Amino acid sequence: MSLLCVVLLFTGCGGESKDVVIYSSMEDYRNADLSQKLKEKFPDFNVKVQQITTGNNAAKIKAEGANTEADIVLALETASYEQIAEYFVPLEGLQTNNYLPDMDNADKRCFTWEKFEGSFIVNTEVLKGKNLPEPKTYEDLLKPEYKGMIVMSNPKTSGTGYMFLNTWVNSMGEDEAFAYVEKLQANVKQFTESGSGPVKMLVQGEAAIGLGMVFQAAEQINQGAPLKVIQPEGGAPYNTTVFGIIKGKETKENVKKVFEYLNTEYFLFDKENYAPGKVIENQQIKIKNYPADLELADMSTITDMELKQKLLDRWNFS
Amino acid sequence: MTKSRTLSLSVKLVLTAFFMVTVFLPIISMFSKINWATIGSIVNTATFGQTVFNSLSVTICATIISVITAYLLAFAINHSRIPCKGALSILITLPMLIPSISHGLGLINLFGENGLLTNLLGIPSNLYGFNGILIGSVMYSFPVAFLMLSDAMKYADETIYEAARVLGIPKGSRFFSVTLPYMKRPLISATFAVFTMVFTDYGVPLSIGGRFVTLPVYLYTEVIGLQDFSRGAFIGLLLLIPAIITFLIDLRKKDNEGMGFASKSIRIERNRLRDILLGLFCVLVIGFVLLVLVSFAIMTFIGKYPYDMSFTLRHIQEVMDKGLGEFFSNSLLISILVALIGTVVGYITAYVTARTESRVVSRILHLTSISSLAIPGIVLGLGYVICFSGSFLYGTIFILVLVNIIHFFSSPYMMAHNAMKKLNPNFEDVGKTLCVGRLRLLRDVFIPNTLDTIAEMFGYFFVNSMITISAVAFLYNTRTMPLAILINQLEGDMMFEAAAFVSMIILLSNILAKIVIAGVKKFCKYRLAK
Amino acid sequence: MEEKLQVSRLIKTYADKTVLNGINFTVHNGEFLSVLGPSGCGKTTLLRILIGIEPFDSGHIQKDGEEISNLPPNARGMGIVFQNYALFPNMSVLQNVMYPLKFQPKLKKNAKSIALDIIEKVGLTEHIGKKPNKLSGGQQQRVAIARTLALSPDIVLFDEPMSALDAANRVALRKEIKEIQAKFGITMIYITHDQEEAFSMSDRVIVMDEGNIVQMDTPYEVYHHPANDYVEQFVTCHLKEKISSIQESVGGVR
Repeated sequence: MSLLCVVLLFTGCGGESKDVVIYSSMEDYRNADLSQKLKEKFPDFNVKVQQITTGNNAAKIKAEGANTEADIVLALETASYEQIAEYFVPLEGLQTNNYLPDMDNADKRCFTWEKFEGSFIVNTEVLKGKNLPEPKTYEDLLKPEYKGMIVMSNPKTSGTGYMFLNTWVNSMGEDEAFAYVEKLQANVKQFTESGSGPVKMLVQGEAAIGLGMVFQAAEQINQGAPLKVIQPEGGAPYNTTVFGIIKGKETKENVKKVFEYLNTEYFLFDKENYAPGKVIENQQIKIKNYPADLELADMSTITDMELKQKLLDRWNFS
Repeated sequence: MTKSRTLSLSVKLVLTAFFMVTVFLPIISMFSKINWATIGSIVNTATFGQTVFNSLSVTICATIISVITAYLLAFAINHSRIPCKGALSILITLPMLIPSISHGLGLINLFGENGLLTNLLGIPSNLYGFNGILIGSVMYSFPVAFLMLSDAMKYADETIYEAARVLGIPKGSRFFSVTLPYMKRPLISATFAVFTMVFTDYGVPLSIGGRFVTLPVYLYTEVIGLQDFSRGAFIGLLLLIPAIITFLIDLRKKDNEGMGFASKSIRIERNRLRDILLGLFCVLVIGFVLLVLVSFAIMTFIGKYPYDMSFTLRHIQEVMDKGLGEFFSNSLLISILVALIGTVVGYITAYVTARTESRVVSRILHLTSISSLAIPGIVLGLGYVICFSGSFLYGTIFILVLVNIIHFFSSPYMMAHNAMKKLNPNFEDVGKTLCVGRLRLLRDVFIPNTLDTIAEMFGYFFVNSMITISAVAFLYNTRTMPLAILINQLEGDMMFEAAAFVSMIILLSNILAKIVIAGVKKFCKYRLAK
Repeated sequence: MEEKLQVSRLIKTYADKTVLNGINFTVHNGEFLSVLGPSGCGKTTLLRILIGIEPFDSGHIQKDGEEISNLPPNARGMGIVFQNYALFPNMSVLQNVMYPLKFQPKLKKNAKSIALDIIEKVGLTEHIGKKPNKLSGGQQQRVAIARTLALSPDIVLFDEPMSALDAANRVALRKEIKEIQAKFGITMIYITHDQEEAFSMSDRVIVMDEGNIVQMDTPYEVYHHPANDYVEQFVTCHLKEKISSIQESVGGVR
């Protein structure tokens, strides 16, 4: 009996060599696809794609420190990355993709993974059913007839949510931005934990307007959901994410191999099919219904870690 | 001191030390983590006050409704002539076989904006927020209250009612002068137990609370999400308060009352109207419960309600791809280990406190072993992560096993303790005079005569380990994640169909386990009677 | 008659209360000795001390001339039948009686035949396969006695064994116990609070009061020549007291 326990204890914490753990902040359907591809590509490895929102991702690694179980971190929002940059190993000597100048990181401890844009996403059926007009500006969202109809993700946990907060701060100034959110939250049905939450709720018909990701909306439109992308006045906010290897884990062969796959084959596949925001030269966009003419908003402070912490400390809505 | 006395004393001391380390040490280290300087800034915000108010308001309302519902059901089972009481009793306790978060999800399935019933009945959905938490919490807690009240009613004495009849006390007054006073203690216990359960649960409000945030959800998001242990520990402190009060009240009650010896079982008068009304009520409640459980099945197999009504195995596939097999086996492994080790430790501890001398040490051990009842799951889990994160236990399946054993320890321990106390007090003396050692007596007399209690203990540990999302929420990692936690993740990603499927798996596993346990108990009874 | 058991100056205190106050008495070989007294007088404690499951403060217990007070219970050649018999509910009559034999290396091999023999002597042969819950009170008592006799003690102690039975049964069982005593030739020390029982069964009776032996003699002597008022009231069921209080309330002559 006790022998069994001892054996199990070790299996519970053992199996080091075969396991690769990826903390990924991508949406569930992308993680599912990645999992599938990893299983096919590396049938002998046991690669675990642990889904975790950006905010929690950084917090967990910070708390676990050098003993973290994560080997690779994927799709972590850039500002959040700054918080835990010390735990990443410099990726010297690794081939990089052909990044656009502003997408190429000076800090060689990570590479840019994607750039995603956000926008108003509406469920046209729900709007029609409730006889509501489509919003055009952020001011519009404050209209009383939208009460309980709006969904946004929580900036504390989600990079998508944060980019909206950031764009308001950039255009209105911090105090004004928070005054705006104070008014907006009366109409918000829910602040979802994950960035993919708003579009999901729209698809379920649980809300009419979401502050969500454009490519996720395009994906759903392609699957038949009655969604529409409406660019807010002032341009679409955007954000970038990065990926890298945790210090100390780069010596493991499997980790190196998996990372290489992520950096090359899967990187291109993901950009073409899931994350069409331009990060490299000659980026192909294979995703249908992706608006080609998105104007981008002023996101000059989006990677500022200190600003992000300040704003999140001030964020009191849930 | 004789050899056996030293042995029993050392066993007691070892056990007491064990519980001190596994129960009190984590809580103390949790308190030490609180950064009191920053707490002031949290408490002073409007949202904090709102959160506390939210928690209190929804908990109080849920408690009242839950206890009344449970009382009516218990009354129906024990004091009326409705048929199929056995089956009804079992159905009433079905909600105890799924995680609390599943209750919220089930309600969303039925009554969400796009819920099965919302669309079917064309009613407006007002589910998210206070209402949803209220209904979900009632569903989650009423079976526990039902069991407590029904148990008390079972031992009610007919002779008191006979006396009341003879004395000419009218039926209505009989309720207030005879029944209610007798039920006062069980009612108080049940009320406090439900209050604590609801107050400290994060599963229901997380899934269905929307903007209505309660304290446990706040703890959950701050700690699990953002790893802010200081804030989390502070909330943990607040959550401890109702739990400790409940514990103390229960303790006083146990001291004061003796074993209720039923001198005569209740004679139930004929009353058609009463039976019809109560029967209807039972059917309504059980029907509602079954509806929620069935919604899991519906959501699992239907494409995308209401857009795509085709039968599909897609959601099952999604979950399998996510690693269902592995999480399921994690859960099974954890639950079986918890059940095995927990039952053994609980049984030995109960034997030592119920059947050996040296009152003082026994009493201390007794109190220490039931004290984990005073600690809500998430608080215990938080304490463990703060206290044991550096140790070799952390990150292994064993810490999950340990925290569950401690979390669920008191009930099975008390089951064993009471069963032991009921056995003839002279067995040990017989052993001494006939040259039979304690260990042999344990094996040949105690265990065979408490087999159904042992089975019950095992079942309790197993079922609760399968559904728990509280203590384990802070302690798992990618490799050790139990199945119930997967529901958390699926819920966070709004994969409601997948979450429904996982809930169903847990439900079916637990039903199976209960059937097996019931079978074992029947077999033991048969063996003993032969 | 030899002295089977000799108890001298036995003292037991518990929480500032003197339970046994320097008890002295002897037990003759083969006799039936009752210890009579109200609850709380110390008789059960005395029994437990004799068999060795209760410690005491000072004094001596000698059996067949040898000091046994430092011997463990199973080495004193004594058996005990408890008030509620303490039969093992999960074992049949045969298994209950065989159980102690299984732990004696010398007797293990013949455990079954030894047990069957004893069971026959107490008249329970047709019940050997039954579990205690299928037996009557009197039958259970006989099983308890049989189990005790398995290790061949020469003294058997009884702790109010009839208190759980109704009156009719008790009278029948008194006869059976005496028969068993005769068959096995054992000395019996019998505790009871029922004076009728003590007097009808015993060779000698000890009357106890608050830790002291007040009188020890044959039943005849105790009844006709009570040592003091206490004894007199006790053995006559406080008859005089009851009569005078009835007279008082009825207003009769005092």
